[in-house]
Amino acid sequence: MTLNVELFLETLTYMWEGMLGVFAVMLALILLCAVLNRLCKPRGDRKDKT
Amino acid sequence: MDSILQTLEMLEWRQVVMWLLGGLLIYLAIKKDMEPALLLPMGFGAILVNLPMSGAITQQYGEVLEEGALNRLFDMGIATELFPLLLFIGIGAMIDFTPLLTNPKLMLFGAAAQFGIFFTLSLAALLGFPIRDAASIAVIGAADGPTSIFVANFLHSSYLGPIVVAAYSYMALVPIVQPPVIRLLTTKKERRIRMEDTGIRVSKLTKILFPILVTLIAGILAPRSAALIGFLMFGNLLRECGVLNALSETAQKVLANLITLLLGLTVSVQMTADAFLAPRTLLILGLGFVAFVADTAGGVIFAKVLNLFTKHKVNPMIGAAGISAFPMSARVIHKMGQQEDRQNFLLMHAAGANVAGQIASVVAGGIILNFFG
Repeated sequence: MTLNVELFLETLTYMWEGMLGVFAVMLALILLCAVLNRLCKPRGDRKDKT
Repeated sequence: MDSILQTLEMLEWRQVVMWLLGGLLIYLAIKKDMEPALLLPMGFGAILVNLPMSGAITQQYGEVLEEGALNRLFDMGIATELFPLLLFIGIGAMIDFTPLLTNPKLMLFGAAAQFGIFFTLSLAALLGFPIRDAASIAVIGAADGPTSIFVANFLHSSYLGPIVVAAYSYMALVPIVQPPVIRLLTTKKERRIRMEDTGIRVSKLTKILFPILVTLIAGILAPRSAALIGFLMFGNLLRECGVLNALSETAQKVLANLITLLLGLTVSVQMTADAFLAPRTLLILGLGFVAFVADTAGGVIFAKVLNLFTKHKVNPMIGAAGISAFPMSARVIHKMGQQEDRQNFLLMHAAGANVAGQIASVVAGGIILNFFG
């Protein structure tokens, strides 16, 4: 078996960009959840506030 | 009589090895309850396709090419990516996102636990696999069978059989693979950390809007994941809309079972002795193991780093639940928490991280397709 160091080094960029991409999407989803939880409160909670 | 002898003469020792392997998969499914819905049909299929001149797969008889039933199913269901996508409707209908919606920051653990995918991509590339095969092998780390099949097939990997066997085997082995890694990376004190309930209550409207908006966001940010995430979220919308309960139950039970059965049997087309019994198969199984270990380590280490900067500490074991193996991983973490402290109830938090892992693994699969598709 021969080690392909060149391809390995190339994939390090994919590793970095891939993880960054996953975190970016998940952060966007956190933001979405925060907005949804704020705007769409269950009825009981809304009454408590008023 | 002559034709029987002729068939027996064609039998190779490698085919007998594949029968034994098929028998092993059936044994693990029945006796050890390891993903039986998939490993049993796969095991049986492995025997079926390795019969000499098996009519179940495409064979050349003189000048005539006779297409086998399993090849036809493969072309219709896997080559077109329909089976994994349809299975996602069933999986989406099974998932309750409430624990995640009450504590959205658990999404981060879902992201961190995808580290195994990208780590294994580099490792497989280093070991000499062509980049598309390396990417397909890496997605074993998604801990998500349909995503592994979808990506490996999309990238035309020649290792679909070993990849599927590895993905489903390690998913079943989560209770064995994860605990030692978690214990190695955490102290007893860390494992005893209790996590408070956020007190957030989730409305029905939120649960309905969530799958729609996730599809929009993930589809825009990672377009190649649109089919995967879309089918998953459509299943979830069936569950949450409240007016299609019969369809939701059908998706959860009948559809998911039927597709799993067909998927298992059909994938075995890739388990012919010629394709499967190669030194690289063992290497792929090893890389799959590395992917699961790296996923677990990535989640735990990320949680520990997060604890350095936050006031409300997170039990680092929750990070390990960020893989997509739902609900096994959440159960494992809850059980480990209970072993350290009987009053520590981590199930809801672990389930939240686990469903986040389901979304993140699909997104990671889409990103891999964006890179190499």
